Formats: sequence, structure tokens, C-alpha cells
Amino acid sequence: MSSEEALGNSPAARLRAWTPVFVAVVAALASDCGGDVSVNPSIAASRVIRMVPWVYMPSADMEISEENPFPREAIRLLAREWERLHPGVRIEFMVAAQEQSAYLTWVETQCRGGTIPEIIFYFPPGDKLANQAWVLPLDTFLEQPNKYVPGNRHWRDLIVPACLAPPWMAQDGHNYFIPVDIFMTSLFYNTAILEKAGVHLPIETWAEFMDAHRRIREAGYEPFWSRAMWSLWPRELMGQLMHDEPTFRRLDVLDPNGRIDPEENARGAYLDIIGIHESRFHEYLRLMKEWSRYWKTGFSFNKSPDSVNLFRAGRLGISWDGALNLSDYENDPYVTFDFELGWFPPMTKASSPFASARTPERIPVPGTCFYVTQSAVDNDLLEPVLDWLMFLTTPGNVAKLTQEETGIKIPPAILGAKVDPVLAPVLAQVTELTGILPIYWGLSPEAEDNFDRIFELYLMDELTLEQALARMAKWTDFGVREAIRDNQTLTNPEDRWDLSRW
Amino acid sequence: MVDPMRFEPGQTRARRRRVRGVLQALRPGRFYLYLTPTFAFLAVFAYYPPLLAFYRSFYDWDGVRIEKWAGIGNYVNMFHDEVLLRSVWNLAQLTVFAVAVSVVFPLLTAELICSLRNRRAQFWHRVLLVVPMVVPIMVQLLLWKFIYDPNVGLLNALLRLVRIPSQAWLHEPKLALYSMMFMAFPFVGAINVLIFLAGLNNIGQPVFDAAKIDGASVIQRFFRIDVPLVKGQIKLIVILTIIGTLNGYGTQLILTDGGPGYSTMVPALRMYQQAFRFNHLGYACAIGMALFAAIFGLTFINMKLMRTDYE
Repeated sequence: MSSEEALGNSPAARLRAWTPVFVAVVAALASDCGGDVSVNPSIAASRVIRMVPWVYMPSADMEISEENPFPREAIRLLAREWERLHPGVRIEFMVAAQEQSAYLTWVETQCRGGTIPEIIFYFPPGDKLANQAWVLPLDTFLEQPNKYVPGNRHWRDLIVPACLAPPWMAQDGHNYFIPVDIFMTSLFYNTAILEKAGVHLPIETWAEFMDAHRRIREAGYEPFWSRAMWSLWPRELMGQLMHDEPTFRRLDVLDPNGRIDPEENARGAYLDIIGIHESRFHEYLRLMKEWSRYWKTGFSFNKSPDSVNLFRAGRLGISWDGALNLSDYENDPYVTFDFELGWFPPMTKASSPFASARTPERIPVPGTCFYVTQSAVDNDLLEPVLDWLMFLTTPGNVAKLTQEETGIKIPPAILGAKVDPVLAPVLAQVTELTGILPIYWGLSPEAEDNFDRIFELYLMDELTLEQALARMAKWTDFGVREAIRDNQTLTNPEDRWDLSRW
Repeated sequence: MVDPMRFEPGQTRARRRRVRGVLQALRPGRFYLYLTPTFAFLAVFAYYPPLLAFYRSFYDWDGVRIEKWAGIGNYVNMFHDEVLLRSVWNLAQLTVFAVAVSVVFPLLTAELICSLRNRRAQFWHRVLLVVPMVVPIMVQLLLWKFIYDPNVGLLNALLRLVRIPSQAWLHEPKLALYSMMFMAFPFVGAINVLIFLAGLNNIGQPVFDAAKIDGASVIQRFFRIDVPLVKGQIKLIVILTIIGTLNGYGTQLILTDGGPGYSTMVPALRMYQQAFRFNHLGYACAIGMALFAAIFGLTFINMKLMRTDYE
């Protein structure tokens, strides 16, 4: 051996020294490119379903503390159980931004980049994702039996029907999500304030309801406010209070099923059936303005001052809040007063000539909705993804998920799931969404956003009725055009509306 | 291979010197190669997206499917977009206010600190100014949200003490924009103060001494000596403030979402909405290009108007 070789400086020695590095790089590149390089068989066999479980994200630590008041692990335990039944497939939970706009931006970015997890949470009805074919329509799968529920013939039969009703269908008329829980609202009456104001429960009519607002204000309290006064809530409420059967029948024509689906809604706006210039719509605005006089100063439909602290501090007479907050208030040390749950009374002709006199239904809204994304198809995971969702949505497993001992109890969207006794009376009032006159339903996100802002300005006396109506009409026209344009460019021609039927 | 550094005995001294000189000149040049990745990343992440946005601004594009040549349609639409026009007016008010307060108050503060004779006191004042910079912007916004809260907010609590009725600061159309402007209170941004301090410290004691001998009052000295000699710093701060205000929409997005109504809407937020909420990416690109043109134009005007002699 020469001295150079002994020192490792010869070309041969250098080559030998670099050989392991070279081999490692080539192996790494080859495995990434799908080359025929042998890898660990357990890794090769493992397929991963990525899921954004949103509120059901398993906690890192199950110890209850101030920072971690409601730890959860049910979904992790269910996933492990399912994985044992499906060796070789793993479920990986992904943390998502809790701030809504940040999360929506993340979802969109991942969808555009083709890196979105196979199952994600998204807000219903998911038009934005559906229009881009980033998520899959689930109708055909919903018609199949859920093999984890003996005797079940159609998966959809397990789900609270209102969650799959037309308002929650995408523009193309398909269902794109599987709901796990529902959101229901309730009126929370501070009975101590009501007593001081001389208001007696139950309140029977809308006129009495308004009178209660007046009395509460005179007694020196805030009459009414809501945790999140999205315009959807009062719109739906008024749609029931002012329901008109003949107008409804003129809308429910393309698929006469007692509901107004997205196409019928767009057609109604296009043909001005319940138009901005119709007297019923003016009456709706008048009633809303009358009611808004009693709302918290500076309300807004988007970033409103929240009602929670006002109610907890005993300064709010009537709070419109999520029913699931009942257990929160019951355990809240600041809530030292008595409160009662209630619901809106019917509107009679004494309040408006357009009153329907029907008792408003308590409509459940799909809460945590899981969407199956295009990644499930691209990564050849559609079958296990649907299997996992079927497993997750059996009544027993949804009960484990939504009624977890340490977590906040959430009303389940699956029929027959056992619930906490506190929630049972609220759930007993779940109704199917039928026969609601769409006072105004958003036709496109931009039209809806602007409609709300104009409505807000009108209620705040920043716009006159004429100014508001002119602008609302403009945005309605815009919304109709956008809805038609979006629909007519859908990938599947079968999903496109037949405008000749309009 | 011939080693250029090795010289044969027959080579002349002059040639040796020349070769050595060339190599020495080349050697530092090699370090510029190391900048190549930086410029490559800049090209990909800083220059390519705006160029692509410029191209896309001529399309009716929803990010995925609808891509139709729109010509200057998106730019024409901007002049018919009432929301955008309203947002431009809001932005003009915000910018004028921001420029005024980001120059006046930091300059006055810097003057006061500079006038301190005690170096240690000067140092501590600087430290006290810089320390709040470590508080994240998000925390500051949430703090102001609490201050402005109509129900349990600090500001209303103080008003109630003096029997002034509560206000919904961020939720009243007439108040929201002004409440947002006031969020910069006490208007002494640490960076701006430090920039002015550096400028004032550069003026030099002999100039101040000469002014003193000439009998200049404090006010005269401020307007005739200090302000002209920190004009470069003023120009820098004006440009940075204009850029920051025209590009900014985080405060509006988090606190009001441009509302109530459109009272706090700004063009950058409109652009964000168009891109990520309404899927009108072509139009959003056009708004972005208009913002770029506005920033460029205002900066150019500022450079022209505030020409300094020592540039």
C-alpha cells in the first residue's frame, strides 16, 4: 500500500469513502421516483388517510387544566379500533388553523396545490369546493348501506334529514358532506330580568315578544342579542314567520318536494318571484328594522360584539345562542341567576298583514361536516376513506365522539345516538326543514356578502329604504348571473341547470 | 494541467505580476456566485408572482376553471366597483392620517430624547421605546379589541366614569374608521423615533452651537435646522408609511372585516376578498396591480417633492 492510499488520499480510497453517500442518495432518489428499490415492507404496505377532524382533534394531553379544559381523544381511539380492522391503512389527524378565514385559505391553497388531506372539515354546503371539483359528491355512497349498522339499507337514513335537505346541497344539487353533529339555536331568557321587567313566560305572539323587548329596555337592561348574529338566522326565522303558501308553490316547481332547492332559488330570484321590489320583502325589512331597535348598539352581521359576557354578567334579557352552550352556562360560576330556554313565538296579523301565524320550526344546521376530497381518488384511498366515515358515523361511535366525557357535549347528527340528558329535550325538537319561504338566500358569496352589508347599513339608518332596495336589487342581479355562470361551467354536464325549464 | 501560479525560471517578473493581479481580481468575484441562489429565490418568489399576477389580471380567472381573456375588463370594472371606490376613499383618509402621525409624533419624541443631556437617560428612553416592539401585532390588535369592546371595554368604562354614554367604537359606521386610526396611539412608533434620532445625532454639535450664537430660539432651530437636515429620514418614513398603509388589511380583516357596511373597507381587503372568498382571482390581480401602481406613483411623487441636497 502506498503512503497516499494509507492516508486515504488516493482516487480509489476517495471513491470508497464516497460510495455509501452515493448509494444513499441514489436510493433516496429512486424510492421517491417510484424506482424498484427495496424498502422496508411495513412502510410500503402502510397507506395513510389524512384527516382534519376540526373540533374533534385529539388533545395531546388528557389532563384537564385551565389551558386544556375539554380534552378529547375519542376519535383517536375510534381510529385505532378501525385500523385494527384494516391492517395496512393508517389514519393521521392533521391540526388546522382555528381562525376561520385562515383555515379557509389553507384549504383552498391545499386544494389548488393538490395536497389537501383525504378528509377535511368544511362549512356546508361547500359550493366553493364543489364547483371546483375539489370534493366528491357523496349521494351514491349515501344510498349504499352502512355495513357497520346491522339492518341499515341506506347510509343517509342514519343522518338527521334536515342536514341533507336542499339548503345544504351544493349548487349542483348534490350532497358533498357527512355531518357528525348539528348546531341548534335556542333563546336563553334571564328570568330574573324578565321578572323585574314584568314579562311573563311563555311569550305567545311576536307582538308580545316585541313588547317584552320594550319592557326589558325600560327596566334598564339590554333586551336582545346573539352570540353570532349571522344574517342567515333572522332570515330563516322571518322566512317562517312570513311564510306564504301560494308564493312558496310558485317557487317549488322544478322539483315539487316541499323544499326550495338551489336551482329553484336561483330561478325565483331570476324571475323576481319573491323579488326585492315585492311588498312582502319590504315588510320583511320593516319588521327587521323594528326588531333591530332592541339589538345591542353597534350590532353587525359579521363581527358583532358578542353576547356571551353580556348574558353572563346578567345584563342581557334574551340571548339567542347555540343550544350546546346550555351545559356551559349551567356550569358557569358567573351565571348566578335563573334562566330558561325558549323559542320564537309565531307572528300574527296584529304584527303584520304578511304574518304566517305558524310556529317557527327549530331547524338544525349541520355542524361538523366531513368532505371527501379529490386526494382520496388521486391516492387510491376512496374505498378506505368511505369505510372509515361509515365506521365513524354509526350511532354508537358518534355518541362516543360527540358525548365524550371530558369534552363539550354536542348534539349528534346521527339518529339514534345516545346523548347527554341535558341535550335530550333540545334534540327532541329537531325538525326537518320544509316549507320555508326563502326571504333571501345567497346566490353567490359576493352577492351574499354585499347584501348583508347593505342590510346592515339600512338597519343602522345609514341608508334609506329606497337606497337599500336599489343596491340590493343590483346585488341580486349580480348573484343570479354568478350562480348561472358558475353552474353552467360545472365539469359534469348533468349537473348543469336546464335553463329552458325556467 | 499547468498551474498558473507556478512560474518557470524563464518567465519575466512583469508577466508574473500580471497573472497574479488577474487572479487576485477574479478571486473576490467568485463570492458573487454565492449570491446566485438568493437571486434565484428572489426571481421565483418575489418577481415571478407579480409578473404572473400582471398577466392574469387580463383574464377572467377563478383560480382553476374559468379562464377567459378579459382584456382590460378587470381594470375597467374597478371604476364601476362602488365598494372599491368607497375603500379608496377610506384608504386616502387612513394614509393621510398615518403619514401625518408617523412623522410628527416620532420627530417630536426624537427631538426631546436628543435634547437630553444625560446619555444614560437617553439610552433608557430608547430602550423603553423599543421594548413594546416585542409584543406581536396580533396581541396588540386583540388588546385594542378589548379596549374598544362596547360591553366590557376599557374605553367605555372610562367614559362611564365621567357619565359619557358608551359607544360601539368598531361597530358604528361613523366611528369605526376613526377608531381604527386611533389604534396607533400614542403614535410614537419605535422604529420611526430611532430613525429620526439617528438623523438628529448626525447633525453635529457645531451646527447647534452656531445657531445658538446666532440667537436662534428652540422653535427656530427645529424648523430651520433640524427639519431640513432630517428631510431624508422624513422621506424614508413617508414612503414606508405609504407602502404599509396601502398594502395593509390585517387590522380590518381581524377587527371589522371592512364593516360595518363598508366603513372600514380598504382596497387590499377588497383584493383579499375577491381572491379568497369570491374566487375572482383575475379581478383580484388587477386590484393588486393598481395598488402597485399607486404605491409606485406616490413614492415617485414623494421622491420628487422631497428632494434632498445631499443625495
